[in-house]
Amino acid sequence: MRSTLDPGGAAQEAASVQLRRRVDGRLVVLLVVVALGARGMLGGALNPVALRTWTTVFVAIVVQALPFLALGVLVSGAITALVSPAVLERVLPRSTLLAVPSAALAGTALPGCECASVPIAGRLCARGVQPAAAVTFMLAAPAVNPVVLVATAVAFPGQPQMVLGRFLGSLLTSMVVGLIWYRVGGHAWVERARQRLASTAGGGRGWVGFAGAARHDLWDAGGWLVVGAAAAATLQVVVPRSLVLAVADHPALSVLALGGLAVLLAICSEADAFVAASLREFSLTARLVFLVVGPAVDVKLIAMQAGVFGRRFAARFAPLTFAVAVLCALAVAGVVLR
Amino acid sequence: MSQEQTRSLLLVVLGAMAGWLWWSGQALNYVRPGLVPLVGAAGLVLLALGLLPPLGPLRVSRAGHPPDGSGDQGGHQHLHHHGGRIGWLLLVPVLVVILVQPAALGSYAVSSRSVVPGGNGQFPPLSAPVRGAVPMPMAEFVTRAVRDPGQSLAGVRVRLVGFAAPAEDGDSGWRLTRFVIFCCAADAEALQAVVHGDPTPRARDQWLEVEGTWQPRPAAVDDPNPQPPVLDADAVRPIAPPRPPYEYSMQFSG
Repeated sequence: MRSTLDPGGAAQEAASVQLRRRVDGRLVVLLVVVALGARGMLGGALNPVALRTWTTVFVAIVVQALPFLALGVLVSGAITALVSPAVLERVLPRSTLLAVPSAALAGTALPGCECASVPIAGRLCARGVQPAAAVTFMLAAPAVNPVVLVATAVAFPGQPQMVLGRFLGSLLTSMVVGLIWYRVGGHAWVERARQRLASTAGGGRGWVGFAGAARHDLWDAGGWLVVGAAAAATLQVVVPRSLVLAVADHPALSVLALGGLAVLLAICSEADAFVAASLREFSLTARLVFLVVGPAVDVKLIAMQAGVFGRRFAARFAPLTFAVAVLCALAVAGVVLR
Repeated sequence: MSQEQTRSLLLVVLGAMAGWLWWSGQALNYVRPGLVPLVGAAGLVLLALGLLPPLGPLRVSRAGHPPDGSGDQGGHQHLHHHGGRIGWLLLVPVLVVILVQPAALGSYAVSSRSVVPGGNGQFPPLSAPVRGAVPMPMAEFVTRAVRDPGQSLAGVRVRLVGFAAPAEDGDSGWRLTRFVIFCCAADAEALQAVVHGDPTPRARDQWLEVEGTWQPRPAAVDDPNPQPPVLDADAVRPIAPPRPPYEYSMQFSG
């Protein structure tokens, strides 16, 4: 992310630390106070309607994600403070072929959404969990937990095959991506995340380690969440839905269109089933692709993964996950939606 | 102030924003009611992480450290070098909430199409009329009007609540609109009915209570993208924006 990894940039680093020292917390207070004052003076003037839609969607994504982000950083803090690498080594299967499926199944137990699983996966990596398993967990947790499956059942009444299809498609996606990541040697990229996270937490135990890790993850993942929310809100306002609807009748294009829409909209995995249900112009297969892609890769997630694992990781991981998710969803649809 | 104190302050500010959204009920503009207490809880967690020792400002005041706060803890210096400045962006939603008053989605968010729920094929009996009309959510009205082969709405005087959105090409009148959200405003879908018989021009986004009768037409049970239903209005009253501003389910029970 920054010149941290380049030992030659030490002088530059010192200068930028100097600069940042001056740009400190007083600026936060100043900005908030000025904003509060300006609010009174501006009244409703800063309320052009198009901007209002954007701000509502943007703030909605951030606010909706906060509880899950808080849950995520609390769990990641607990992992840092309570779970030592030695314990993990004893608990987890040594073989990747076993670790990946068990990580996917472990994901089913965490009733959160995407925002929680990214920082947790980062901490698991930092704690010595195999990257393939951590990545699998990150993909499985938001997609196949009980809350999401119940929401899907409610959104598609009388069509239990959608619930089954979603469960199998997402589980398959998480495991296939995990195994590919293991084979293709994604170790190096995750290694950087590991070093960064390990050094930031200072290896503290107890409350110090817990609070340090939680605050650091909140800072990183939260900042990138804001980037992702802004991107998703912009795309929602700018890209007309009719553009996507135009290709509803074409079997191949409709699959890609809904896959792409899932990436652009960045809807929480607990709500995307209801949106999929309303996209009645599209085949069930295309809508299953929407449900499998959404929790695995969207603009908000890409931003958060870039924050936790680094940009190089995200640049490789996102296209891989998108392709695997589309193919897995199609394969499962071929079996289940008949 | 040290970098760490700055970060603590940011978390406190963000937590205070979440807490205020919960306390004032403004969170309802953004998320479904079930999530509002969770937003409040998240605010408390953020405040706690920002305020509590060992890193928060409380520690400094208690231990009497110099405000610079440098030089303590082995890993501390590292914190300056890691994590970057990305977290500063957490200030953006706070400033947006302060500067642009929180508001629910309005007519400008209606995409070129309004959604028609599929229904589950079951249409329980209508609820009893109140003051001469059957009150119902927009989801129920639109679903019954478009999907019910039994035409349960025919001849029934209904009372609906929504805001005015402009008519699409070809329609006369305006469209009574209500958003349904499932998790947050990012997944909103618009429910709409075309209102006929209201001579008064209505301002965009004005909230209205409308009484009238459905203009019957054959049910389109399987049509994925049917036209919105038409309501012949006989009474239209401007009202204050309802709380909560959205509907939260496409399903309804009689």
